[in-house]
Amino acid sequence: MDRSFLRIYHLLCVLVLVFLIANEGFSQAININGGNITLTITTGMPDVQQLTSVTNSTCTMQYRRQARISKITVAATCPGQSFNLSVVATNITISGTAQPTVSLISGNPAMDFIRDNSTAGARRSCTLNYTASATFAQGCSTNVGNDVYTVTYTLVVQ
Amino acid sequence: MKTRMTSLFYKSKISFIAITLFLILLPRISFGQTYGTASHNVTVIVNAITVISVTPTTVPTLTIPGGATAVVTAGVDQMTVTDNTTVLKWGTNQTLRKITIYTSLASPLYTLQVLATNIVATPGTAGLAAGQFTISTLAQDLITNLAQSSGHCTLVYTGVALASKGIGTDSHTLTLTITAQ
Repeated sequence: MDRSFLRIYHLLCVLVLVFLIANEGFSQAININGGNITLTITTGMPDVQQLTSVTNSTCTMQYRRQARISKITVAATCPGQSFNLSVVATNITISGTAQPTVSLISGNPAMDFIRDNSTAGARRSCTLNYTASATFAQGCSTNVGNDVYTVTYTLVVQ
Repeated sequence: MKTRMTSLFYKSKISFIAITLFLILLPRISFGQTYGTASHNVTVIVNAITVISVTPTTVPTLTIPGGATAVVTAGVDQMTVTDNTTVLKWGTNQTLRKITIYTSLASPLYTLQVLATNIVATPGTAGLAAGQFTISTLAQDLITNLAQSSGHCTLVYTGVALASKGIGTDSHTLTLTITAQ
């Protein structure tokens, strides 16, 4: 009875280890460098509806080749979204084709961000170019609060 | 007893292999061919922004009786001239604002009046123009009830002179301001 219990216990330990290793590999397929960022709109022009937009390109993303041709999609959540945020990939190295600028609207389905990530070559990277925009009519953070987006990039088979 | 133990051993081994393979393939099967995800937070802040401008930046010259719109009638003491070449532009992303105007000239010889017309704003919550009034050194409301918007209007200046005041020149520096209502 004790031997059986020990055997099952050891088996479970090994399984947990295998599971953790599998998931570790899974999570490192794509990662973002640069952490969280803030874009602040500070100016506008009289009689021009659109405020002066602000861009940020301090973050980069690294992703790996996979066994099959893959792509990266982007989606965002932002409770109580008031303003506009878009993103486009630039400076892609090794492999992948940037897709047109994606407007990030909270809750919308994931959109293609980079396609044609080939199965060969070393680890690749790109720059994440964010643009924040707003109109006078959309108000200001003092009245409606900041927009805090959680932007998620997913590496999937194409 | 030995046979039973051997059977148990093989059963465990088979289960182990099966479960291990399942776990290795799990990411590729259950996640719909998803290889990985990464997220970060992006915060967008929009400051309170209020901008205003006039074009041309210099106040037009209203000349009596030489102005194009001057009205001078023989036997009538009051003479007038108007100018509508100034466009006022603004933008605000704050609620309930107003535009005021005042002059730097404390003791003018003549009267300078203003009227905001043809207000166009986006969105259409245009604001409410005050009627024509005489500009003084005290800030007076020119347009009220401005919502979060950008827009423009025409400023119609009217110079009023009495013949009895004689010849002279008034030089005004006009200040237009967007403030909370």
